[in-house]
Amino acid sequence: MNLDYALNRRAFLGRYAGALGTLALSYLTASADGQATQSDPLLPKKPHHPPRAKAVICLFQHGGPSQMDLFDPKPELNKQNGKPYAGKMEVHFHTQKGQLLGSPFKFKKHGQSGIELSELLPHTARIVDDITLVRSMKTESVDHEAALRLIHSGKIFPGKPAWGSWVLYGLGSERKELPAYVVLSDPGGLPVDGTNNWSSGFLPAVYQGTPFRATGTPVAHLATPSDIPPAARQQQLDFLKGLNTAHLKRHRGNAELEARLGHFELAARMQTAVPDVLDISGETEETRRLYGLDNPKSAEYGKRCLLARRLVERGVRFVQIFLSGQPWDTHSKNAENLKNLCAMTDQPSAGLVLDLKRRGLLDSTVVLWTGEFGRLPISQGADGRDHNRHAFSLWLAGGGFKQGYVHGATDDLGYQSVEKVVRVPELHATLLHTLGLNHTKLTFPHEGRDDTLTDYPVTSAEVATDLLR
Amino acid sequence: MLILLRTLLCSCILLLLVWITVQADDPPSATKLPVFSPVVQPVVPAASAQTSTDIDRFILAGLQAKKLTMQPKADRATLFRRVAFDLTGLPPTTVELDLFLRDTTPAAYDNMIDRYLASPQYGVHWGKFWLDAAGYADSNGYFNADSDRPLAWKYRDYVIQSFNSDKPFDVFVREQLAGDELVQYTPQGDVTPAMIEGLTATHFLRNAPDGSGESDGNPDEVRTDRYTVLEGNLQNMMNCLLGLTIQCARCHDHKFEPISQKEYYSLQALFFPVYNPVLWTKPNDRLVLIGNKATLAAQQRLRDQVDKQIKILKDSLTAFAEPLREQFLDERLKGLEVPVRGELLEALKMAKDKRSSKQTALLKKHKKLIEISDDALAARFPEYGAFKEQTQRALAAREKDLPPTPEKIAAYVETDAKPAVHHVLKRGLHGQPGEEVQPGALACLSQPGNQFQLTPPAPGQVSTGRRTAFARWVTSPANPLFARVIVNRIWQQHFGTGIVATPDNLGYSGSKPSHPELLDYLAHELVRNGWRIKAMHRLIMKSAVYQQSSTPAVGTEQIDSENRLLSHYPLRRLPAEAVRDAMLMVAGELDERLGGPYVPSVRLPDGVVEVDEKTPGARRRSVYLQQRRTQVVTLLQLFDAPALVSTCGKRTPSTVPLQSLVLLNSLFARQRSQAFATRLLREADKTTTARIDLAYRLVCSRLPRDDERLLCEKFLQAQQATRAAEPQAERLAWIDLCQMLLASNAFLYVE
Repeated sequence: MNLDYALNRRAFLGRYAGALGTLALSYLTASADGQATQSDPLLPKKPHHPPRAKAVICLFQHGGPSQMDLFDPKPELNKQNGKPYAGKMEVHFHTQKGQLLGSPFKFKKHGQSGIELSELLPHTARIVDDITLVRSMKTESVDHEAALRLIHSGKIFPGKPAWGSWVLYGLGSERKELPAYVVLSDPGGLPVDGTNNWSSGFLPAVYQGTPFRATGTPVAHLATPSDIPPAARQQQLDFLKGLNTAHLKRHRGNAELEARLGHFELAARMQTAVPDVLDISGETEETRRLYGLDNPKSAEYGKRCLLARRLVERGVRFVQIFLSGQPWDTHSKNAENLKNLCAMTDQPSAGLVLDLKRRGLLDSTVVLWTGEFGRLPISQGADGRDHNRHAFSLWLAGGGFKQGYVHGATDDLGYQSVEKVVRVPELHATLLHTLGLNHTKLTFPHEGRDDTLTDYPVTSAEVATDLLR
Repeated sequence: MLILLRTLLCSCILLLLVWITVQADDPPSATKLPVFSPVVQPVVPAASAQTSTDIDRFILAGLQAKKLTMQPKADRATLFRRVAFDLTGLPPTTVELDLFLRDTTPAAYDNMIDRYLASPQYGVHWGKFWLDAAGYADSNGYFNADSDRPLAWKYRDYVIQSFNSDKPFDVFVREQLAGDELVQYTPQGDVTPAMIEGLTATHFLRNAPDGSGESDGNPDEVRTDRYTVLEGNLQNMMNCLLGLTIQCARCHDHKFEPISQKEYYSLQALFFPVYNPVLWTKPNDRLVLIGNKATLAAQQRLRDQVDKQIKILKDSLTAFAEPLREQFLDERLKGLEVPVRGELLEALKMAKDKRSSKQTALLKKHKKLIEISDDALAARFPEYGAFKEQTQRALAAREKDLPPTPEKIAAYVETDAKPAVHHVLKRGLHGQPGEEVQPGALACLSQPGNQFQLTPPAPGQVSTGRRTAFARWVTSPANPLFARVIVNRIWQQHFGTGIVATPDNLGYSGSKPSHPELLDYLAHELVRNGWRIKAMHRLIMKSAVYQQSSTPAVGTEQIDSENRLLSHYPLRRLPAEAVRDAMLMVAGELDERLGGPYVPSVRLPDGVVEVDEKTPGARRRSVYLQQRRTQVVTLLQLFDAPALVSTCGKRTPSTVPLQSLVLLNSLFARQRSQAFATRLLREADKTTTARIDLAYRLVCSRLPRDDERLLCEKFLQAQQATRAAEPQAERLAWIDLCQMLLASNAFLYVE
């Protein structure tokens, strides 16, 4: 399943170098050498081009947030409320198909950009001039798990690496004492599709996401066993270093042994670095309020948003926040559920962007707010909305994305993205691009081909340059 | 929707650059790549002074071309540890070590290899290698549920036994492809003990993920889920047996390998009698019962009868209790005010999921009153107690009459007497059948003397014989890839990297062999030796290239940085299973029992997957731990054990701090250290010297070097002083020492 990347590169060059252009050849040799001499797969690697951003924070909204109630005002839909939908519509729960359902929420223009947002998002309204709002997303499946796999790994099949794994594989890690791809999971439980959401798939396991526990020891095996006092542990480490140094003398120059020797010290440093990043006692009252920590409804989510900032501040590449289950999956009581969910996530999400901005971190950090698909303009049962893969909205902030910009549009009723459609692979290509990675060059040999996050030979994905400054 | 979806699924278009290059060159053709031509015994390069075996002559020819040489032989203890880990995945015992070191006869080394090849632990280690290559797992995968495969372990045991008995490799593979046909299984016939092995072997064709037991989408989705099983198993088989990636040919002629789309569907047709999406059996229902048909049927009749009687007994007990229970509830609620009583009764009547939050709260408040235990009921109504006792006696008597549950095999058998004709699927789309295809094999690997030839089944046989024909074709010595692929895999297990570095892909898109003639030589020898894998081990391990020291000569790095030419033995980290198993063995805790159902693992709230220390079998070898696709034991995963989706022919060894953390802080590491220390204090003479000696003999299969001994002594002294205030300071110091020895590179690496 896993091939030796360096070796494969060599073989590749051996066979095809003759027909490659000089430019391509010099690129490939450079990366082949870079790979071959590194026994540590997490060493920082040079990006393909100068990056705009160094880190990504993804605020993932499991279940499919309802775009026409949050980001995408549809006056025509409100006008036709209660009428049947005239055209053909892909419905997941076809037995509960209802009539057109307008949004009960009022939309208003905000900021200098005048972006219209729902009254459910008063805090996001404060950052509209910092975000790119994409109203024309499309995905490939109305099945949660398949759509989750598509947005996380570019494929609807399981077993593919998550986006964070690709980023880590492409860029390595700058700060060794913290995991470079951190998952802040909901203390309430795993999201739908569980650990697959941050699996490294066919990439080596070192690139998978590391979930931090909300309570107790944040990372597995981080705490020294209770029966080893600090002084005794230090002597253990010194002893081990002595043993490994003696061993290395007989295998001079072996990079792998050298790396392992260093890793025991690094592991000890992780033991202090990780609790340190999770300790928010030094944050001011004002900062806590910014993230909604003073409000019981948003406090837990807010704390994880705050942690995301602290992680990125310390050089972590990719942070993803998850929700338990799939709360945005509003098949019934759509309006009521949305109110609760926005009360939980709106202020912390906006607070994160504001905090990153005032600390000068927003330029180098992409914040992405998205779910796996959207919802239908008709009702499901009395008061719910069904899955919709033809349109959903998301927003991006920082890292070279435009500020106060709305991209694309759906049809009058909000069923299908019709203008400047962005597909998931394009989102991926664009995210990688801002990080200095060319999605066509970030490849890994798998099942006889050089696989990519975007699968561009099949999807024809390109960077959505319109979204970028 | 489907077109877009299927386009996405068609994961086969190649890196543009490569594609253009191939276009500019030639279309793929079998004659270009030597591995597509039948194996011919190669000419062994001329001998030189240093060589002892033919293998060495091939290796030396490669080295001399770069003005390199081999390293001298490793010292005996090093060699011994290398052989023990290579053949069994375990370190040698001190008894074995002494036996070998004392044996100074010329045959000592060969005898030692033979002893390890005869050990049942050999099959455990090499079985795992095959299980990975074949994509084995104890769960169905595909969906999030990753449901259980409760009988897959029988295939695991079959593989381990086959390695231990040195079953000829061609027979081994023929059984896995068509064992059911070889033992002449028929759906109506008996399954005799002699048929069990062949039927168990066919689980090979079921190793791919299979979500069809859980699929619940619309008809298109269900069909896709089923086709995925067919596609996955075909892909597994071709990767594993022939080192070919064929899945590109699902949507169009392979752009890279000489495989047409039509041929791809001919291969699918081999499996279509079972994996037909229209006539589908869910994975956990694909079972074969062992035994005589008439006996099994009689047992089933008896079982139905007894089950019915048991139900009657249970129902009568419930009917007896119901009115009494109501009466008792009435009595208990009497003390409550009337409106509350009414509300309570109403809430009780309401279905659980329909109750209002108020009702739920009310019920919770009066929990003690309304919950009537069986014992309480019997105490209130002695007649109920008596009736219950009587019923239970009757139940026990009836249960004794139940016949034994029949043994089952999760086999792959054809039951469809008239299987449907398969078609090419246009662009790989499941809903778009094209021309009809007949079952077949690949033209690029067929020879005049080795064609896919279908023999019609004998009268009374249901199975089509397609897989028998295919198995014959695959395992023929005339098949260019079959022997090359397996010897390459074996070489990789001994040297870390195969002669072809991409063991699942020997085709055009794989990497080039470092020693093509050696690959052919080994393939030829395998066939000449009757396909015996153990003979292949002997051949390889007797070579000088295998026995050389792992210390590279000065300057080698600049000429052959990856050591592809093998100027020294490659220093290698223990594979994940060996790390865990060796820790247990050094600690004196390893449970060496073979076979049986898997030892279950659990996922803790923090995401760590482990086997609870109290679980029976918790200290068995890693191959016997539950191999759940979404739940790989963390210790193993950290050391690069794969989470299987397809197959894993090669692991990418990693070196990361999380490995250090697990060795420093996990309960597993700490507990092994405690047992290890206890063992040292118990087994060695009471001197520190003797204990350190024993520790090194267990961990490194040798005595400590002077610098190591000094480090140990100093550490023990200092650690004992540091822990002086604690009870058992000496023992704690030894535990701390043992833990570091088990974390040290001298333990983790085979020289």
